[in-house]
Amino acid sequence: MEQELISKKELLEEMGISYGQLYRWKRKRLIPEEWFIRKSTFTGQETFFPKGLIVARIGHILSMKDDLSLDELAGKLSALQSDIQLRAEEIQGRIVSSAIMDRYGRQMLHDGRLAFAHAFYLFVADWLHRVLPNGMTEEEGARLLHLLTERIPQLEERPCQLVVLQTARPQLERVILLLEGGPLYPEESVVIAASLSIDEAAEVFKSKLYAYE
Amino acid sequence: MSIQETNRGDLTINGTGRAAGGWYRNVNVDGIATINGDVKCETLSLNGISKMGGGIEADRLNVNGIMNGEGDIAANTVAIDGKVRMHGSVAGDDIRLNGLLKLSGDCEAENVIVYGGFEVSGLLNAGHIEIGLQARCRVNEIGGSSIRVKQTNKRWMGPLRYLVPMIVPRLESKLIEGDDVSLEATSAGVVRGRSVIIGPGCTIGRVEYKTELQVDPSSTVRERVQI
Repeated sequence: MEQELISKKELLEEMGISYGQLYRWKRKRLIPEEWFIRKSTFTGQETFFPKGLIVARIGHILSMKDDLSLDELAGKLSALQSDIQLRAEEIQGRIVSSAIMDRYGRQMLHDGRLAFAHAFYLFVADWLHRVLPNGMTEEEGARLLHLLTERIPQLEERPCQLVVLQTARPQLERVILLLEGGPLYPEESVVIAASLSIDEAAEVFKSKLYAYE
Repeated sequence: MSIQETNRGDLTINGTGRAAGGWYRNVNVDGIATINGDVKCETLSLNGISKMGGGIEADRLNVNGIMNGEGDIAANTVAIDGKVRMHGSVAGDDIRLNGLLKLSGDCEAENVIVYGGFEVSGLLNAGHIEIGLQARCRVNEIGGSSIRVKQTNKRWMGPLRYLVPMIVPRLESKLIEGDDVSLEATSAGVVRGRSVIIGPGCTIGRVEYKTELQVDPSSTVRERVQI
């Protein structure tokens, strides 16, 4: 699924902003470097942006800029980019497998769009599904997503680790938990089936999301 | 920049010296110095010749003389009188350059005032950019709100201008984008802006403007597009 792009010129026109504003926001890191996609056109070099992302971001900046300084705004936006809504088609297949999307994604959609954080949680679920032997059961996945949606916002960007503990006796059972620092020593019958740093996962997620082929 | 602890020591080098990087209050160099590693301080004054082995994070950076280095510069105020060559980027609020600057990265600030020449491999991004051309200024892209490029008094150079193109005061850039753009002695691929004034001695591939465009008769603009 290809991302829809918008040229810089069209963007300025559509949002009613100036070059000066756009460059200032870039300086203040309100617009990530990865969103600037350079392409050669018949009029020379032009810069394009992923349309959905940039329009949402600039709308957000414009609505907030009267209340907050740009530096305060930069701090707000670095969080799990609450302003961004992603279209389901943008995610499906490219970032989250169709199976996971069908299982859990449908109920998170709001008129065909997914909040940035929710898309990230689905990405984590997808990763776990692939890593765990025999995958996750539907119920485990639901538990995981519930945990992420409840807890990650509360952590306020503090680094944490997602850990899956597994025991085979008396029957296969898994416990999913979020760990905020410190090592974990399980007893012998319990193994760590998977472990993932949420920060690193977020980086991978963003690089996949902004990647443009 | 916030430096809570005020009891950090100063670093002073008079004559020739070497120092490790680190976190200081003020760093003063008079003479020839090599500093290995990143430096973090309030004021960094370099008079003479300095070689920096790492990045610089300071409230104020003053260079009088020559500085070569590896790493990024982050400073609120940067004043360069002389020649600076860094493998990295510069970010700050006010950057004032009298002399020559060579950067392998970007240059970002609210205000950039240049009298001299520079070579920036990346983007020059600033709210207000004022360039007084005294040598060759080369930059990949320029973006900002107001961009003003002026010729300073012309010197007679005779055949030297062909032998040493470095000394010909001229701005070369692929792309210049701003709200108010006013250029002299500039070669650019594309210039985009709300109001664009092309002064004498320019060669521009394409100008895209919104409200107004003025072109000096001595300049060539291949394409003019009003948007």
